Amino acid sequence: MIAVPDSITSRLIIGSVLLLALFLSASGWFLEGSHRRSLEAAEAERLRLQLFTLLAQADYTDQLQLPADLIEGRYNQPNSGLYARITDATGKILWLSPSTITLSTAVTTAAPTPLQPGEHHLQRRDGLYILAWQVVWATGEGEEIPLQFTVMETAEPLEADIAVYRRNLAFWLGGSALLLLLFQAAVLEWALRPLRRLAGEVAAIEAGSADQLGDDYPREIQPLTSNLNALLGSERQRRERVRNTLGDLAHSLKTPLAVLRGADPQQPDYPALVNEQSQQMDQIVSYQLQRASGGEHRLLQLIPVEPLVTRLCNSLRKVYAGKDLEFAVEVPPECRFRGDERDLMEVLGNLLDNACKYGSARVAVRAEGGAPKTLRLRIEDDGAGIPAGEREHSLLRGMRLDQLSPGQGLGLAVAADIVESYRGWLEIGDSELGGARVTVNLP
Amino acid sequence: MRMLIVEDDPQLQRQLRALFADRGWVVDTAPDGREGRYLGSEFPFDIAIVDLGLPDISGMELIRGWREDGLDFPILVLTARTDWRDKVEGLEAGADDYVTKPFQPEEVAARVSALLRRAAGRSSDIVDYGPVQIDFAGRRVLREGVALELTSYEYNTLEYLASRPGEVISKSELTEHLYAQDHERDSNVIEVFVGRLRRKLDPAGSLQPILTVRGAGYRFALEPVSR
Repeated sequence: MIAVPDSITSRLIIGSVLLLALFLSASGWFLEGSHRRSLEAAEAERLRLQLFTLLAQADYTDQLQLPADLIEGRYNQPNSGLYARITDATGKILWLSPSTITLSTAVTTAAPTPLQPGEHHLQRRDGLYILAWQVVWATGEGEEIPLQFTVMETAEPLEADIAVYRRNLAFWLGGSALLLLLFQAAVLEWALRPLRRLAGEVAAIEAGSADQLGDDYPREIQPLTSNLNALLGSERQRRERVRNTLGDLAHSLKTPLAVLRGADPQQPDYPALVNEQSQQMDQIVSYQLQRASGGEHRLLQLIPVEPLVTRLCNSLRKVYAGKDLEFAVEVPPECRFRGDERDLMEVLGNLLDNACKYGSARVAVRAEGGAPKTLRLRIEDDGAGIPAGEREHSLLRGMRLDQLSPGQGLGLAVAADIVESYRGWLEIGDSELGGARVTVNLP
Repeated sequence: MRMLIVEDDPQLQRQLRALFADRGWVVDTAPDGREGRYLGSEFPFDIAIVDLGLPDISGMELIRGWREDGLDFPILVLTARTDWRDKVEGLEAGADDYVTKPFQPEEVAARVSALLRRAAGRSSDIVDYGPVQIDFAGRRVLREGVALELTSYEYNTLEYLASRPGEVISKSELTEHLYAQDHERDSNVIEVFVGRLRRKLDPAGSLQPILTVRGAGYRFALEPVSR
């Protein structure tokens, strides 16, 4: 198995090299082929002219005659590279140019190409381009003598030309490839610079010299950096929350502990006091635990709200079966919450539980908006409602349980805390149903 | 009433058992999910209390298993976790209500009563049968407004019969719900309890609250009245 390189630069360079090699080989093959074809066409044309010239100089009276001093001097010059041969119908050689003296007999005595009168044929054989032309010679006596004229020229100059062309082509294509690769490397360096910067900034955060990433990143990695920044922010908030929770927990537990230590075990109301104080401590622990867990895993996923509301309503319908509550749920399916599902469940669970607890027959949940817009959830009941004077007090941020009023207090305070960690807010009002209406706003 | 408690903490198990055994209920206990699963499918329980955090199979799996087996007794879940996801998952698995730890024994007793009331189809804890009223939460029976002195077994016999109005309950069914597994079962005892109940509820013999269906068992014959 081929190991995949673990660097984006290597991957892109390997990809480019493979692509360039493929593209340039194909281009080279095509260009060289075109050049060869055009040279061969020119060669065929040249041979045809040579053949016509030879034909013009030939004469046939009794036998074939050609002048000793041919127009094309190269026919007379041995090893000139241009050769000619004339054969009769039986293949008998009637005339050979003097230049053929240096050609091998295999070439000069080769059987003529079978052709019809007037037909010609070009071929390449034994390093020569060979053009054969079949003619019928009409003598003065009206006799028709079939003759085959063959002119041959060495392919060496053409091959040399092609070799030079190939060298030039390789030089230019190779040079272009090198330039393209260099340009590609430069582009890569430029394009990957934001990622290198990101790695540097993350390292700086790890080292403690920075607390968040810059915000001027290219569009493609902007969502990543914004999410990382949100995650870092939430982690910072969580640490702060845990610190505050521990402080609050210690502080609020010390009060009932002090009461217990100060109480006299001999007093008749001692068991009742122990019971009351331990109950208060239990509530403090539950409240602080829920507060501390809120916003712990901020993965910023898009959570559909409707299934969660349905699950909670079904569960609460079971728990409050004795009350025979009627649930009105109006949550559009496209309504989504950006955050942790557990947090939304805590907020809705606490608020719906309050609505079921204090409502007498009807509970309503309505939602509108949702990520990317502000998500607004309204939970209403037909109970006694929350008195106007207590509303603000119920929503005080970071309130400790020993400062909370009983009843709606704990659930509301936990919900308010979680909502606040998402930079949202709660509003308490009067419902048209007659009871409380709690509105959750989550930006 | 016959109750199953599946709880691994021995102290808590003892407390809960005492709470309901004091009412004269038959209380079986299991320290883990495996035994709970076996007991639940083997005996006719009227209600179960299950701790979600059990050592072997979780309470959630145990409840799901019972429900898959077709067992439909009400289940009250005990959980140490306060988050809603756990509560919702427990209820979705088949539980009927939950109590978070730590809890007051009275709270568990109240939830159990509410579940039994729901299972019997009653809307209120106090049911008025005309001359007789039964306070199921307070475990009291009034005749002509005067509280009757009933023993725990007598009350439990009446409660079981009244929870299944119109149904004929056999002596063996009554025995199974009123006596522990290892208790010596004597059907004559049931006859004695029913006889005493009849005398206390209907001294004049005009009301006939519990009818004997020959060869089949007993039937609670009083109808609730609405005022």
